[in-house]
Amino acid sequence: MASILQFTPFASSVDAAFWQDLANKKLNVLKLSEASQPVYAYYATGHPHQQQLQQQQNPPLPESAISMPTRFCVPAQGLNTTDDTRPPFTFRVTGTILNTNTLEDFKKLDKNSLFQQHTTKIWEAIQNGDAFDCPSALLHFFLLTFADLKKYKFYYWFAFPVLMPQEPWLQLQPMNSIGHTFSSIETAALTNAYQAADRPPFFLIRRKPNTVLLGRLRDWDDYFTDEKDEFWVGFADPSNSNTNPGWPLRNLLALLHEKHGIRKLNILCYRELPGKVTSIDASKILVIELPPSSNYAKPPKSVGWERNAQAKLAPRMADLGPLMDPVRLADTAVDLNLKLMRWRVMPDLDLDKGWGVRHITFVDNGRVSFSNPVRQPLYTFNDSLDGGKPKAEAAAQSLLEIQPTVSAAGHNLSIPMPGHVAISSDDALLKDIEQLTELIQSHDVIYLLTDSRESRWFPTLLATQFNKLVINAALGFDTYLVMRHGSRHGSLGCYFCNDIVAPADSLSDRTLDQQCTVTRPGLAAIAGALGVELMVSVLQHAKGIEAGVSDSDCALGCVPHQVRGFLGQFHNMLIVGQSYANCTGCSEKVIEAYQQDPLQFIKKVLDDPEHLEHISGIAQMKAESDALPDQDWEEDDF
Amino acid sequence: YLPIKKTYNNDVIEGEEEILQEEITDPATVNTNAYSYLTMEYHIAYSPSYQVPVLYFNGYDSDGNVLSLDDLYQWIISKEMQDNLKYSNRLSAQGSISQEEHPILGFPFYYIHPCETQSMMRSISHDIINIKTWLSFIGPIIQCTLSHQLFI
Repeated sequence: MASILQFTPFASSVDAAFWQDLANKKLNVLKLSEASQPVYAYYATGHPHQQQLQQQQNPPLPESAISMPTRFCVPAQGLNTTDDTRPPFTFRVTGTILNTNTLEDFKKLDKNSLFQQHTTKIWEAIQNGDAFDCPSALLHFFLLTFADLKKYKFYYWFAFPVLMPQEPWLQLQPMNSIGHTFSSIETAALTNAYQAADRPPFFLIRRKPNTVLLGRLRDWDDYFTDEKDEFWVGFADPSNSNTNPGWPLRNLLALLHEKHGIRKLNILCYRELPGKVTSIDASKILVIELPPSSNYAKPPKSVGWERNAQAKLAPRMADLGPLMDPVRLADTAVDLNLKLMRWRVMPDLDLDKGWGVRHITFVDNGRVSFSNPVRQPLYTFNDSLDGGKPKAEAAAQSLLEIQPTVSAAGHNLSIPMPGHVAISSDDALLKDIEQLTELIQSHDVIYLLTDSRESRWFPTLLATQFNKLVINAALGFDTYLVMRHGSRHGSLGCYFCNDIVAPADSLSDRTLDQQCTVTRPGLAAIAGALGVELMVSVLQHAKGIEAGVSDSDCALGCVPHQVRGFLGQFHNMLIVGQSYANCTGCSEKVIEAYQQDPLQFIKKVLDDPEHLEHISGIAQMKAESDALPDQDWEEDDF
Repeated sequence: YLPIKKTYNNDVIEGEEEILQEEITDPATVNTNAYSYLTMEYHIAYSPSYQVPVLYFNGYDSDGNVLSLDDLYQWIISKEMQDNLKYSNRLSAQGSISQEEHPILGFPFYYIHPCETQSMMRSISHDIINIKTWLSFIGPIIQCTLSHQLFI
């Protein structure tokens, strides 16, 4: 029963290093040139994977799903056509690559005419006999590419031009296994002869009793002289299919028809499995015929653009950013570093909470001054020129240079402070209030690192209202305090819980050295680093912000409330402060008063900090304690 | 070093691409369905600091896109190693997976960290161990299986 002979097309597979080589060549050598370059590739003979894959699948896949595509591989050295580096037992093919300068060029290029050019070359090689001397010319392929060097994406489209007869070749019987027709002695002889002939991609076979002889294509005229010999044409078949031969056969048939008038043929689809004992049992037999009315037109039609993985006639794209984009590599490296810590040292670490912060926002109202960069690592000399860049923005910018995938922002903002009357209008004050509220609400951890007590008050109130984790760091000359505020209803206190005086203006009417905190320079880094690690310890604790100090430790160790450091003695103390119901910063009374009318409350507090003492209940407490000394103390009480 | 390329079948569905050209219908081409396969690339290099061989690997889909660590965990890395990434209380016997520049090629490659290799090998045998034995223990984690023919 004759049926149309169908060929399995090639599926391209390009080594990632080839793309990198192309990118380098484009950048350094080709530059704006769109000239074609030679390129080489390879393929190997097919072999069955079915059994191996069947065993791995449960339930077993249908036959059609199992057959592997026929791979056509471009190696890393593909652009060095004087080279011939490829795996053993493969067949080399040369082709042409054209890389466009833009994606638009890639899309708009006249692909038909380009394709025709290559088809014509193959047809000519057939007509003038060159294909006999160099049969791999029958497989000359074409590769159209666009290398996006900024995004490391490579668009590509392969074409494997093949010539078509007016009506297709027919197969007179289903594809059979080689063992069907050749005895094992004959296959052994064939295998040996093939190796001895240096593994030609196309060859002739003469079958004699108990042996086979191999010949080259160009020896056709002398080869089939004895009519009694069965004559076969063989080709290295890359197809993995049990029913169809591979693409290289197509142009071979065109060649044999044009030059030798062949219309009927026995084909050996040579498929070997190399090893200690090379086996060609996977090879197949075809008996094919061209219909009498069919010929190859002059010139013949052709097909051969590769279909993409979705079986559509469209280009393909390889995104090599993760291997080549330095920004992505840096990101992956940072993540992997954290994971290594987990794997090798601390398996109980929860990597989603803690280090590896990617979203940081800075709030500051100052500018970088000349004395800052040496003590504050995020600033450089350039930041302090021309009056100094705004600190918040400069810090954010600096972070981006350290790790480009961080999301960093800086806000130039003056925090409303008790005792510092608002100079600006109500509207401006309300805007500041809203902006600060929005910032605190939208972040997970708040670091209070400002240089005065009163500037920490309002953020403390807001953070308590939204129950955000606050890490508070304050510096003396050679002492520091690093603490975490307690949760909104928890038992641990905030920065203000131990104070019976409301925060007030501490900055005006002071000498210069009192205004600018003069501290031992190393303290900033020490306190800052402690603040980070304290945050991580809190986050690693199962209770997070609610973690008490006497609760069992987190994976990293204890989670103190306050760390007070004394650099003069190189000594730390761990201290616990309870939350205070009358606290000016975090008590419910103050929060409620604020929530009733934020703008008016803040205005009042900025103007008169003692208002805070009334609201929080401290004023009343003071009045009660003032009343105590009027009591008599009896001598026996001592 | 020894590169080995292997190919696997998997069903990963990709997005649409615009068709740019109509071609002549050709009855002589087998209709291929949408396909997807992954290509794994393995390299063995010697680590002078740990004095053991190290298995480097990368994976690519059928278009040539490099597989991310998440992809590798989903398709390639054995289930026993899966926990390593998220909730493990113990390291697997073979060691953890990380990424670094290939010592010779310079390309980033994933690799199985060699810090556990010595103790893993000692638990197998105190004699000098050859590459085949080492690979038969390390390889299966990342689907680098050896043909039994190598051991005949």
